[in-house]
Amino acid sequence: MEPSATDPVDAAPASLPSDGELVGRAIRSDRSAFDELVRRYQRQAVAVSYRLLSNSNDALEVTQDAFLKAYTSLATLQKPEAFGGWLMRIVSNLSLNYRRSRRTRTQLPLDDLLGPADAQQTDAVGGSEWMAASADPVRKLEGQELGRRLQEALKQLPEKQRLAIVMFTIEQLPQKQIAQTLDCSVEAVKWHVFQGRKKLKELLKDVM
Amino acid sequence: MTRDELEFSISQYLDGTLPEDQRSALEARLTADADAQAILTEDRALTDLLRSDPLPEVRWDRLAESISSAIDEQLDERVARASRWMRFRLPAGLAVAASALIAIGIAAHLLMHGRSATTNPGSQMTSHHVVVATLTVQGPQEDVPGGPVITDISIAAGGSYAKDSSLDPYADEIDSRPARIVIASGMEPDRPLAGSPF
Repeated sequence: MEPSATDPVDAAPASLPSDGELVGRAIRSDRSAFDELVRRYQRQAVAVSYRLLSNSNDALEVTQDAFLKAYTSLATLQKPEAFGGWLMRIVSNLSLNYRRSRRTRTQLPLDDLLGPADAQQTDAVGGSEWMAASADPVRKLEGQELGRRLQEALKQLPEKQRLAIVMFTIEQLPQKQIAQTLDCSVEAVKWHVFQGRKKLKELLKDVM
Repeated sequence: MTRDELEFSISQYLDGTLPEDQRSALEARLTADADAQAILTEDRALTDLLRSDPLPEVRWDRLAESISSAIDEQLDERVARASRWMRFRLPAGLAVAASALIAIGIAAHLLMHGRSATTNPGSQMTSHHVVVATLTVQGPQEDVPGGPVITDISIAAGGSYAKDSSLDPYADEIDSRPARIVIASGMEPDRPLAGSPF
């Protein structure tokens, strides 16, 4: 039997304050509560943004923008306990609408934020920069090519299928949270994953 | 079960989201159906491929600090903007409001007490309950067959003050109560007027 992956990531273990409590405190100007939400969700935000943008620099900028936007719009969040899904919606919207405009964007100090090996990869273009990180030139080229093919295939999926594959299949986020992000039912998330998977198998038939 | 239904069930089975009551039936089919097994193998290979792309090595503590600083900067900017508003816009607004209040006060004062023409020779100030200004113009006289063109012009307060009892002494002298009178002079008389005060 396959392992259950229904809710593989639990953002707030029982002993910690819930997202709803932290959101409530943050709205009452408790900055430490929002900092806790940042620590809790920054990995998810970077991961989803990175899968959609294929560039760590852009993913970090989008993540920062998303948290800023979330902080300033926190009072508009109707269900504080749904913070994770709401944040991922901001992240995915910002990522999908992301346009590179370095002159108008604040440059983040990437060398400080990325590990030493990864900091050198930030200018890589075309496909996944991380798959291309191998020291062996042949494997590096293969990795680059495979990463590029994966990204191309993902970009060909309809938006909801693409987000469902990124958040559920790749990042293994809870289905309920993905449903909140996509503004649909959990059953619909399963369907988007299935349809996306089916399309990707056709597109990547020669590399599988 | 159609091919599509089988693929959907396998997709959910792989993700661990297939309902319990359908799981054993699918597992039985997977052991007997090579085609179903091939679909599961393909799906698993695709999932492994998608997950094989690692995430960047991010220093999460630094990223959290960076986000926190960005929020602080934004908050500072808001405070500075509000402070600028307090420093420049608010005094300017208060000055405008004060000017408006002064103007309204002056207008109210004028309306309440009437306008005086103190600079005009021949004007008199009479004070009872209200200040009343009267301007008497002794007009130019010209002898014509039908008598003098203008013998006398009297102007007194109009509006609500017109019936004020304090004006009674002047009742006989008041010829009209115009709402507005403009007296202006900008031209030389077209012929000299003998004995004219103008």
